[in-house]
Amino acid sequence: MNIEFVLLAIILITAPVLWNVSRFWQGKVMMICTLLVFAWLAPWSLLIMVLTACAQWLIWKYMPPALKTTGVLLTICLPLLVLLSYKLGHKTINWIIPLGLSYYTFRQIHAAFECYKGIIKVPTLEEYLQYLLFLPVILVGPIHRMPEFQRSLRRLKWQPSVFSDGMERILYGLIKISFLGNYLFSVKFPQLAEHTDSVFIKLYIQTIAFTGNAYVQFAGFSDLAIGMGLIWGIRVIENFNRPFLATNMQDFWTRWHISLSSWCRDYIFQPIIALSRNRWIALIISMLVLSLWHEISLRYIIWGMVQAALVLLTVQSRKTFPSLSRFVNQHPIGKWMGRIWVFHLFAFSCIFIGYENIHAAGALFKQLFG
Amino acid sequence: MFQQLFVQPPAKTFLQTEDKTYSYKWLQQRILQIAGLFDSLSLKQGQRLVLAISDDVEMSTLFLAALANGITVVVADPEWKAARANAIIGRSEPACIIADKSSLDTWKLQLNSNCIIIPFSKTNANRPALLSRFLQKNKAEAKEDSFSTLLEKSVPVASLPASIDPETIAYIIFTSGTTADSKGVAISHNNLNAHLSTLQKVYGLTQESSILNQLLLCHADGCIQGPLLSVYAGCTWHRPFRFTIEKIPALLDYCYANNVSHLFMVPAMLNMLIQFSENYEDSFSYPAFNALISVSAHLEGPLWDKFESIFKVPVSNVYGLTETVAGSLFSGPLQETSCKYTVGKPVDCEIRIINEQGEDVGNGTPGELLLKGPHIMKSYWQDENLTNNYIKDGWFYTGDLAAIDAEGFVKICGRKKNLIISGGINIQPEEVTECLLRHPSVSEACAIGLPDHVFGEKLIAAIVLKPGSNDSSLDLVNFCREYLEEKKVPTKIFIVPELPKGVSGKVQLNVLKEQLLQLHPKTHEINGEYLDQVLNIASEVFQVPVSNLSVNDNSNTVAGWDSMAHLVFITTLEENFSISFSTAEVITMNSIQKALKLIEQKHVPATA
Repeated sequence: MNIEFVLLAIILITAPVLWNVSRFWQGKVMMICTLLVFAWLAPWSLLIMVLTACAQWLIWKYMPPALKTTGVLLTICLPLLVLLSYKLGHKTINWIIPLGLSYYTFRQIHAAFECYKGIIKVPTLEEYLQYLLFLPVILVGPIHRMPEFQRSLRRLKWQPSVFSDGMERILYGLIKISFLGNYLFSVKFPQLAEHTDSVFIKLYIQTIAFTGNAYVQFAGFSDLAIGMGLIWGIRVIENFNRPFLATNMQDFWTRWHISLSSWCRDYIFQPIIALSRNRWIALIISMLVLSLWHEISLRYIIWGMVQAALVLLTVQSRKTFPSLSRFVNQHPIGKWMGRIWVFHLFAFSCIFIGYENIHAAGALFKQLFG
Repeated sequence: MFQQLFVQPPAKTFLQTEDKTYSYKWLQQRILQIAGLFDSLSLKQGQRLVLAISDDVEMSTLFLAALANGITVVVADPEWKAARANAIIGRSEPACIIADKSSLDTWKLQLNSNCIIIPFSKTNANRPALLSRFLQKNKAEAKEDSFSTLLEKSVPVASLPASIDPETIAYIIFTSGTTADSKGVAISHNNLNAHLSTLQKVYGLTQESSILNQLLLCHADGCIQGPLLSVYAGCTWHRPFRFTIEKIPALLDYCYANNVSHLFMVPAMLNMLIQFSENYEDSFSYPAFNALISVSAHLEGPLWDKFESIFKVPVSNVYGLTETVAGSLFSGPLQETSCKYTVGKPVDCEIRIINEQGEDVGNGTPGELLLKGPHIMKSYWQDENLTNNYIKDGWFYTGDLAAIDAEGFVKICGRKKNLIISGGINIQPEEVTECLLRHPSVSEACAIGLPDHVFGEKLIAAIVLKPGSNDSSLDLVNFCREYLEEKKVPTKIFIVPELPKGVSGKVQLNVLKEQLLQLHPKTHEINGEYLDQVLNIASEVFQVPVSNLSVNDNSNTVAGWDSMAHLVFITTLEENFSISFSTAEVITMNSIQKALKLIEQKHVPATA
């Protein structure tokens, strides 16, 4: 059974408790629930996660103001080291089950940046752990933000409409995962491809099915997480905003995996732009980080660079061909042409990550366009 | 007004503080217990009880208990200085005083021997924590607390008096003024009940309503439109914490989480809410929210517009005085009285607007506003002449200048009387002038109000020093702190060679105002020149018409403000103002307001 469904069951069981305790206990109940679940599923992961969080908090609390820069570097590097050590050497330290570690680390880095910028006050250890150990999003994201989470916790109240919204989102998520993903794109599309003799059409259908499946699975699990959050009364950031209605690649990256792309914008793109004043360098490095977050491998590096190039071309073409840009962004026919173009660009770029190695992806491109 | 109190379900919440809930059952028992204390002290209907307690829970329950027993409450501010407290409390001839121990220590009251003085210690007002009770740590301190001790000893009465003479004075609130001319506004039970009924009707209060009112309980808008109105309507009163700038986000979240339906604010608070509105614009977007009510001071049109456009909630404006219990004219929440930039229409009362000759003026012509209704105060306490000066043939002369339009909506145009309203607090400038003249180095003094975009008016004073004196304005501010409450201490005192005077020798206030406006720096005001430039640059970079942009916009509200355009915006600002932003500044500059603040800090105009 998928672990997300186990979490869903736990969240539904905990909901009556949560809504019957006083405001003082509500945040604590959520945190204790996560601690119990992790202690059962992945105690070593829990230990490492909590220890890094405590270390970060101690640095915020006790680092002298004169060493603020050292403090921020430490609070960023510490969780990053844990993530990298897993991503690069996971085969040797197989006793750690890194449940949701990539999301968790990026949340920790977000908190470190925000404390440094002074946007948020240093939280208490309990507040910080409540944020990091929010069960609905801990495994599959989104990378929700601490100020929004704390605010949502302060505004927490029982609202039947929010609860039913949550159940609705879970239903949508299940339909996306089971019907669209596991049945339509995984079973029906390959069957459809078998009915044709054309290699191009066969591979084209495969490519579309891969991208479609990736989207519905990911969006479906995001729906589950958002829905579970709503059952507990907490609204978390949306992760997808109808990405295939984007008319250009820059627009696409504000709609696809929003919590990660906005994280990269705020903590990679903006600091680099502030330092270098060069948006292209900032864009390339941001896309590199975005791709490596998924997996540290050559195929993902290439995929990230392709995305950077596509965004760069979009921005540049707006200057070089302003009338074409206006047509695509404003005219109804232009918009649909833009959407079809964006969908295909993204689908074909995903060939790089759809195969185990870069040679297999290269062979497919050759068969498709050779 | 106590009909609702004893028919409420016992578990229904009367008062919600930040961490504690007080039920109606608790209030009922508390009132019966306090009534027992009044019995033991032999307090009779119509006798005066002075209350000066900074603990909101105790102040409100004592106030309610006194009203329920027909004892006249004299509302005192625990922050009063000794001279004012002695003068006012002496004039009210109280039978009993319950006041903060710290206030009593400061006041050293000189009263007749029949008056019972009961000190109140805030630290012991609530029961000590379980562990402390177990360890009996607070035992020694509790003995010193006379109020708690007396209350514990008193036997609760079985029931409250069946009826109270409606002409009995319910409470007396002393207005700001010099020690000699501070006016005691005496409100009868009749006045109070009539007006509470009006307020309940106008605000549409039901037993399901939730009022949040954080205004000071020693002022009419705090105590009347808070605990009294809540009990009258049988609804819940929220008093989570004192209003401070740091607490604004928490306050907005509190309203949302607790389904507050009626929020009472003074215009200065509304102004502060706007400044911290970013990401909180949806704070009132829940079905239970009913009305945001601006009280105590003039609500400026631009502030009204700005607040409504940001929070997407209509603001109601109330006009009233301590002499009219709380309100008289209302613009909203009732649809038929609602008209922006006005104080609306009178409800349950009549109005007249007259000229200097006492004749009614036509529509659109300003004149003095007169009010008549069951809520107009009974009298000024023990001052028949003063009462007769202000109430003639049942008409109360407000001293405010107003004009009425063809549809009957009233607009306040100015003030005939000399009064400063700063952040919703009424300050009689003569009181401040009197204090300054007490200083041995001051030969002449005059306190006035200057316009301020946050507080409405700001209290400023000008003084002339005696020859040979070299006291600084800071010395004089510190001197004022000794004799005046903090809110009445001038924000700035100017030492001038002379005060402008007319032929009669009186200080020409308008001339002095003009002079001080030249001297007084404009604080907290956004530099209009920078704003225009920044908005033009933003318009060009983000491809948005400049008319659609305002100082409140940020990267979430402007469509074209993406990460790419952000860099262009930053570099254009740098080029235009010949400044450079640091890395941290570039990262955090996500709104027009932040950009403006940084530019104001960094940019040195070429002419400087």
